[in-house]
Amino acid sequence: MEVNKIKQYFLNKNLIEIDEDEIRNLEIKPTLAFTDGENKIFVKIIPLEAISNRSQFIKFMMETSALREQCNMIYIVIPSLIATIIDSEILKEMGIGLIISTGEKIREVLPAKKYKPKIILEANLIEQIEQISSRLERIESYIHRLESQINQIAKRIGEAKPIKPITIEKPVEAKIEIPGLPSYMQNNPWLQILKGRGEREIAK
Amino acid sequence: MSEEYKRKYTFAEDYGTSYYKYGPITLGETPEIIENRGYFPDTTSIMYQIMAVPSDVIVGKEIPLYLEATEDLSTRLIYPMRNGVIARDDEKAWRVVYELTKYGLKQFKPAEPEFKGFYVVASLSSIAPKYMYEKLFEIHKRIDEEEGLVKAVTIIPQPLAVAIAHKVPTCIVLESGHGNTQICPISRYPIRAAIIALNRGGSDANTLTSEILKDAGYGDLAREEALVTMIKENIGLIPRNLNEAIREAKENPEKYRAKFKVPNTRITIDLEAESWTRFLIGEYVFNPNHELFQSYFRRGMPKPKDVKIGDIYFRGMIDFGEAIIEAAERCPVELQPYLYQHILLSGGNFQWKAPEEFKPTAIDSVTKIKILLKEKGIENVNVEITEEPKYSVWRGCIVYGYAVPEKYEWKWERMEGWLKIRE
Repeated sequence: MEVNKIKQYFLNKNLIEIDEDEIRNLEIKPTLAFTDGENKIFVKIIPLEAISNRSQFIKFMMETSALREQCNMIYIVIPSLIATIIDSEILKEMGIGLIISTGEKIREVLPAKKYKPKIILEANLIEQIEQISSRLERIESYIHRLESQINQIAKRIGEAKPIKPITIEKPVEAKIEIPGLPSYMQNNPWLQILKGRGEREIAK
Repeated sequence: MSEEYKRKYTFAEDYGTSYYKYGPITLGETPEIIENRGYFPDTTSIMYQIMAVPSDVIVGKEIPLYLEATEDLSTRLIYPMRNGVIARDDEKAWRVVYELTKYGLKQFKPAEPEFKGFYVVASLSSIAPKYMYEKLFEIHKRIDEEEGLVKAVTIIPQPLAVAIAHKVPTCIVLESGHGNTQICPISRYPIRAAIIALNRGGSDANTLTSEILKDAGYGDLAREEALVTMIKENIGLIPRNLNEAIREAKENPEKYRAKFKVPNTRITIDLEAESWTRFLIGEYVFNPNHELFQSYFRRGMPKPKDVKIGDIYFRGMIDFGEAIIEAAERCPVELQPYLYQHILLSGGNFQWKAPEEFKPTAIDSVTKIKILLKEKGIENVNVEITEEPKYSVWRGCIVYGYAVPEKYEWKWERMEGWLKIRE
């Protein structure tokens, strides 16, 4: 079967082909992959060997079944030659779409059912999530302990005598009291003012 | 030289109109005081030959021992700072300043071998022109060359020293002495552009007292200035309102009778029916514009004139309230309320008694200033009279010398800092 014709069929349905990089993590890969912007649509074309070999056919169907969980819709493409031996009811039940290719024509005989795909996570991502979960557990446990302590403090405050309101006193200017100096020098703000005379000039 | 050295050897000099107050920081609360005058004895007289007078100019407490006949005292007894300003070419006056300064510094020359000269803070009237600063620096240089007594010197205006001694960084200082009155706004520095000088001081109240004494039949006593000053201080009263005070005094002549016995003499002054004139003396100091004073001017009493001495224009007849407002209004608007919060009255011309029995007709200087300002729309002011007015300038100079860094050098453009006489 010509892959290009099948690709063109889906492109004509205003679908966009998904870049290979986006599906590189998949263990089993579809023959073609498309998207309509929201959904992933996988296409699995039956290989020639699977038509003549029962084991290969079973393998093909199992792979298709496994792929179904990784996308929103999946189609299998078979040649018209074996169309008669496929029980479309099973495919319908499984939600797998069926496309028959006659060489010249391509016909969608069974539309695929829309699924919510399972998210595939990389191993290190899973590890990170596990670490975050572990931390979250510790934080929750810490918050519980804090809540318990706050409740205890609130209880004690309730039992305590009322505290006088805090009043902010007017700041008192720093007083310079140097023992032995005459009265007119004690607490004289000019001492600081005059000490600062020419500060910048002297620093230079 | 270290800050510690400077603090140990700070020396202050206040060239007041009547007294020279001087001494080192070690004197503590009060300085030495001598009259700010010098006596030039007649070198041709027999007395001079016999008594071996030590110098051609005598200053200090020994002056009375050398005084001769009174008729030429006015030319021989020189009060150099009578008006706060000495003319550039007044050699006699500068000679007296030199002798007084040397006399004061020599009196306190320390015996310690570490002594390398005083850090001298001198104080002049705020209206002293620049050449007076130059002359005073020259005098200190000369004294150091002769006696090794001056390491560095600086000069500050008297109102700044008053503000420092009274611990107020933002204020208006009224310094009223014998010959004139200076009104100087201060905000950490003296605001030189806002200084108002009045050609009116204690001597003008003396002149009026003299006229009152003449009218009362004491013409012979009216010529003795020291006696007139004493009488003025003892009978003069400041009226709350001059018209009302005169009416009150005339209605109660016995209560307000001005009678004064000069201590240690047989002289008694009694103004009798003219005792109401005692209120004129106080009023004249603060405001000479009342119509009653016109009769004295017409009869020859000198009217305080607007004069120009050096670069300074002295106002004659402006009242103290108006002068304070004029000085304040030369300062930035946002500063003016803070200036009115502290008006400091300093100098002998504000030392007036307000005996309890004459209140509320007679008042003190603080109340009078408040009334004058209120009449012109300035209320809620804080007026204070300086404590120990005789010493406040000297004290301010001591604080200045103690605090200003030794490395802060004199610059003419800012008129501040230490002028190093020697390293």
